Amino acid sequence: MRPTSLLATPLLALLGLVSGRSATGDRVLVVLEEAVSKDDYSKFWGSLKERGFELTFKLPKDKDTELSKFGEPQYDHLIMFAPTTKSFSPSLNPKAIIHAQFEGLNTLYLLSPNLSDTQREHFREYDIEFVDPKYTLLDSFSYVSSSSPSTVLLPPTSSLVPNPAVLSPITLSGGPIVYPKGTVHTAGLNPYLFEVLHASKTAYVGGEKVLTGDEAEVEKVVGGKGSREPVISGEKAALVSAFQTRDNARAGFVGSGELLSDKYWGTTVKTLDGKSVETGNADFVTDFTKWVFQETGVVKIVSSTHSRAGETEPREMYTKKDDITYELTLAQHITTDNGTSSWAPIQLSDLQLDFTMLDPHIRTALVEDTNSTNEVGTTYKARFDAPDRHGVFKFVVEFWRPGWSYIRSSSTASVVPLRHDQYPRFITGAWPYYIAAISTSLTFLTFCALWVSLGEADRDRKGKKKVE
Amino acid sequence: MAPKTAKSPSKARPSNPSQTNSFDTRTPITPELQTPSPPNGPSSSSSSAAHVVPSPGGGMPVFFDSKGNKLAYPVPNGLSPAAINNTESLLRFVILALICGAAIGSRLFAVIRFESVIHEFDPWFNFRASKVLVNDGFYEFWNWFDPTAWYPLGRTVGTTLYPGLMVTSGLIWHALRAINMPVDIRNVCVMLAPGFAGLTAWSTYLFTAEMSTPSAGLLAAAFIAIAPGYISRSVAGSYDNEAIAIFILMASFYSWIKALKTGSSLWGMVTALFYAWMVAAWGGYVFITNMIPLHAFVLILMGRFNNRLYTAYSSWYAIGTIASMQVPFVEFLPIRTSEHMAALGVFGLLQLIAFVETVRRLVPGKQFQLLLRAFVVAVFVVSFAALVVLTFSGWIAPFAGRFYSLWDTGYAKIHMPIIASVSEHQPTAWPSFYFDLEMLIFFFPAGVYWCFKELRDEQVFIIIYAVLSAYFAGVMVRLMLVITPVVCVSAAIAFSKLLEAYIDPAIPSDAADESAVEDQPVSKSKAKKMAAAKQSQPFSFTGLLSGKSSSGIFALDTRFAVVSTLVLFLFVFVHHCTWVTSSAYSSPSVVLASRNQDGSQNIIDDFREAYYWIRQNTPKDAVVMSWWDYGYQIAGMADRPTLVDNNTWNNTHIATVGKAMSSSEDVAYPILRQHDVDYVLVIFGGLLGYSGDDINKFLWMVRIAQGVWPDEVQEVNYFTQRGEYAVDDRATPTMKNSLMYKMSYYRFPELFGGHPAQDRVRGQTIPQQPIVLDTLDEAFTSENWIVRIYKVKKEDAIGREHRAVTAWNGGKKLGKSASASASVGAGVKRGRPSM
Repeated sequence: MRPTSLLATPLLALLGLVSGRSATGDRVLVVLEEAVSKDDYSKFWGSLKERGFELTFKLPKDKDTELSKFGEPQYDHLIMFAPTTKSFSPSLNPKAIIHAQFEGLNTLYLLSPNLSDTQREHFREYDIEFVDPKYTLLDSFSYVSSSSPSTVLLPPTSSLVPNPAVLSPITLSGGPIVYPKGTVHTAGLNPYLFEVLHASKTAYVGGEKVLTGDEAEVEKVVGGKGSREPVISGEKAALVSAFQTRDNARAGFVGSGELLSDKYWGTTVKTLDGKSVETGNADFVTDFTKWVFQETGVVKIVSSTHSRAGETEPREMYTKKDDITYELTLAQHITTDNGTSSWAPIQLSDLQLDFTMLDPHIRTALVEDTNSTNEVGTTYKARFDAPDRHGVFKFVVEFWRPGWSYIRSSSTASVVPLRHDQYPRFITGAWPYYIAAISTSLTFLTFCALWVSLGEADRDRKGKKKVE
Repeated sequence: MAPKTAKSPSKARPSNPSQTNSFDTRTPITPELQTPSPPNGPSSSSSSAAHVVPSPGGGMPVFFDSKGNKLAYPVPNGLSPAAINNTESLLRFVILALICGAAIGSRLFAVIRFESVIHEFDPWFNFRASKVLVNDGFYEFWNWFDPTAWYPLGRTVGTTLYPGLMVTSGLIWHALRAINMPVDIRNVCVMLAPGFAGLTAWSTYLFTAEMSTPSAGLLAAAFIAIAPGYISRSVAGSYDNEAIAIFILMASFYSWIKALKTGSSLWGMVTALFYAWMVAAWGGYVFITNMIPLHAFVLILMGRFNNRLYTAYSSWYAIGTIASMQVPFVEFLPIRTSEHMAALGVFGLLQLIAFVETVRRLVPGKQFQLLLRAFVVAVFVVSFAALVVLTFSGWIAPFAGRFYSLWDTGYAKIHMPIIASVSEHQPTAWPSFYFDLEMLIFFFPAGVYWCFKELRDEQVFIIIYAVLSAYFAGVMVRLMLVITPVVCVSAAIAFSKLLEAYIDPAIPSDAADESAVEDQPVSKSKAKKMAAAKQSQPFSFTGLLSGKSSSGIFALDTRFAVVSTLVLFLFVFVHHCTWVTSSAYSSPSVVLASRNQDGSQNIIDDFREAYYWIRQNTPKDAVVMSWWDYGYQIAGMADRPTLVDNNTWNNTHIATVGKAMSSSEDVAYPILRQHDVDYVLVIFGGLLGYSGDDINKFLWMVRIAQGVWPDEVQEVNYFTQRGEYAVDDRATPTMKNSLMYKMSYYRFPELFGGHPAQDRVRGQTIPQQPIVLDTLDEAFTSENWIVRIYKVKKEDAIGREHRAVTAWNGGKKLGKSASASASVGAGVKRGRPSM
């Protein structure tokens, strides 16, 4: 279908080998506000560098920061760790960032309860609403014993949303995630938004005054008449959410920046029971940043082509009732064991093709074609008869699963009526008409012949009579 | 006027109205009888010299022709009939050639003033189709599927158009190439209409000559050559079906009359071939399809059935119908639709009558003949009943909507706003009859009267044609075109009768008798006496009412007065036609012209500017939505897919566009996205005062949309409380929120820098409050703001509503997230994003 993309594929793979493991690029801009100490997160930075990313650190108000220069993006990813900052330099303000996201910038937001209003408003554009400032997630039943209930321990099985595109099995079955002094948000109905981590059942949102483990008291604050406003509690409290724009740029919202700190990175903490457990933070953050920075869950269309059965070249026009074959080759971005990135086959069972003109005329499953000789990816194939309706049709494949890159392919072809010489010459059903036509013609000819000859004879007779 | 000179001086006799005045049948003057005859003898002897008898009383000199008839003025005598004949035919030829020249010349205003450009709307499609024909060949054209029209439905062009026009110009193009004249197809298309106008003049001459005299024919040719009613559809660049259709119409009528007169099946076949060409060229062929059967039917009713009629009609119908069925667009219509049933019925009736006549001739016996007549009537009734049954059972399609609107002019407005919305389908205003036909419209009834006087078969044809077309022309402006030929023909007949009567040098014979007998030596006293005697005679009518054939004109001054008046009429006619053509019918409408204050011409080329902008700045497959008027132009000039165009075959699709235009952005945007619209184009005349803009057409969009979605679009909402159609402060919210209003007046007040923004078409002031467009971006506005193009925004990449995006870009912050706070607790599921 698109020779350019086919050509570009090995090139991209080559680039992936050379640089980092992200499918889009490895330049990361880290915006740290002054309150955040860079050294507290050295393990996180280290893990990113290890994965091949180039980190550039800036302050929120640095004037020389430019997300794009002469229309060319300067960074592929952005880590925004400046929750309390009220004003940014022009190239880092919310408008500039959203604009850059339209251009493909992936963003990881690391937040805290003291979120500035500027940023709250910014996040509302993604349909995310954060709770009031100073409110944090509290859980009196599950927290790091050496700390306050605001350092919540989240068991991965019940609080992680199992999404294979984002989270690896190791994380899902790993140690509890420490969520220290984090804010809580609710994710709206925006279809591009999905939760990754939410609080456990016993957690709730509260102010400075930490409630004791008395259930009645918690109940009173959370749901009783004395409560000032509805407070989010339990699984409705979203902690980490992910966002993927229409154009597959990604953004992650982590409610607690400290979740990434060295303190909990691959360390052990004590639960209330006194058990010592290894935190799952490192695994979780790695998984999540891998997703945000386009390392996992990235699917691309290698090629999409359609042709008449038995032909190879796509046609601009198909005739009604033609046997049409449609092929779509998809590839998944993976990181190989030796740390290089490449494109690999992807197995999907629920891919389908619409042959649509205003409405889908044909909707059929795209089945994996095992005989395909494609170099990269997996080829899915559908074969169907063109509808008995002329018009401009589109081969549409839309694959939308949260976490995965959206696959959207649309190619246009017309379905035209039969040409004047494509109709059958003789139809058995029309024999009565043929016979009628032939017999009429023959009768007419016979009549003419008779008329002429008899007329001649008449005249002759008359002539003879006259002579006589 | 050229035709006047056609009045040959040798026409010495007032023509007998009941005879064909053909020059060929005139008895030649025998040269051996050349003895001068006495002036008082109105005898049969002829003389070669005209005699001049000077009257002693100092009165007018009296002339005589070779036969001794009194003449009002001298005519050359002694010319051999052959010389007269040759001169006449030479004159006729030269005059006809000049008329053709005039016909072509008067249609070139647009080319000279602007350039050789295709005009208006439909011609752009025809031009595009012609290009496909000459570039890709006939079979590609025949099977042409155009995916860019009626996106995404597409149009099977080859089978939904009348290919006659394109094939005609394609043939001309090939013929010119064959003789090593490589002409651009565009020029062939531009010049086709004037060229065929010349041919129309020629065929009108032939047709009228069959009806009346060749001199009437020349007059008719001259009339049709410059009559504005026909010019309006056939100026250079007006490359439409009508351009060739009128020629074919006249040619097929001529050959039908010829076939009827001669009873020759050859002429019948010629009629059929012209008819087939007409079917291939114009939807108006139905007029011929019904005209000829009606003529035949009336002749049968008048008891004029004969074998000539039978042969002519049968050969025409059989060959013509089969030929017409070869056109893919027509195919089985001739046997499946009501419009064609008259022809079939008359064909059957003729067979029946012919059969009965044959039987009657062979079998004598009165009762048997009565039985036969009853048989004819019974068969007629039975077949008519069968027709009705078939129609109701759906085998035969009832009349198409356009035909219903011919009977009931209000029908279209109620049931088919799409048809009523076309300005050329409106009922004709009376002044336009005068505007398009000038004095001809007054001579027209006189000509029809003359046809009644003679009432031969062919005159019956003229009468039927006149009555039918007069009705049709009154119902639809467009059909002015159909009445124009018959008006020209019958006005020419009347005109030539008048001229014949008044130019004819012969003084009436009975008057000659009287004067010859009574006042040979004329004296004053005797004259007085005679006058007294005349006065004492009982009153009797003279002229036409007297019933005598000896009517005529006596005095030279009367002749002079009448003839000079007629000549003045002709001069005024020519003047009027030239003026109308130049001022009203020669605008290409793609290019507009205005006058500057100093009188110099200012060319307004906004349309082409905008179309070329689209062509050069948008991707090849960008879909452009506009009202259907501009579909063909966008396809032709901008070369982009359009949603709807002037081939208004799908009412729902047009109504969809109408709904998008007349609804608010929230409603319109999903429609635009569903149809993959990339650009929306509107025509706005408010800045320049161009009244044919979309706001003025807007109510039709509303009506058409209302026809399909009566619950969602209502015309009432677009009028103010007082029933006004306002675009200023009084405009209703529905009006102000409609996409069309917003697109038309977007940023319009800014142009006035704080002064009241005046819409020059509506004469209203547009509110200063800026119009906000959420889902569209202004992409292009032409120099004079006539064409405005908007780009449809894609869905927001982060899933916001467009209104929210606009608000956010404008610096407004959200107090609460759109759905996050609401979704807590309420078990609402996330939807699927639109992709």
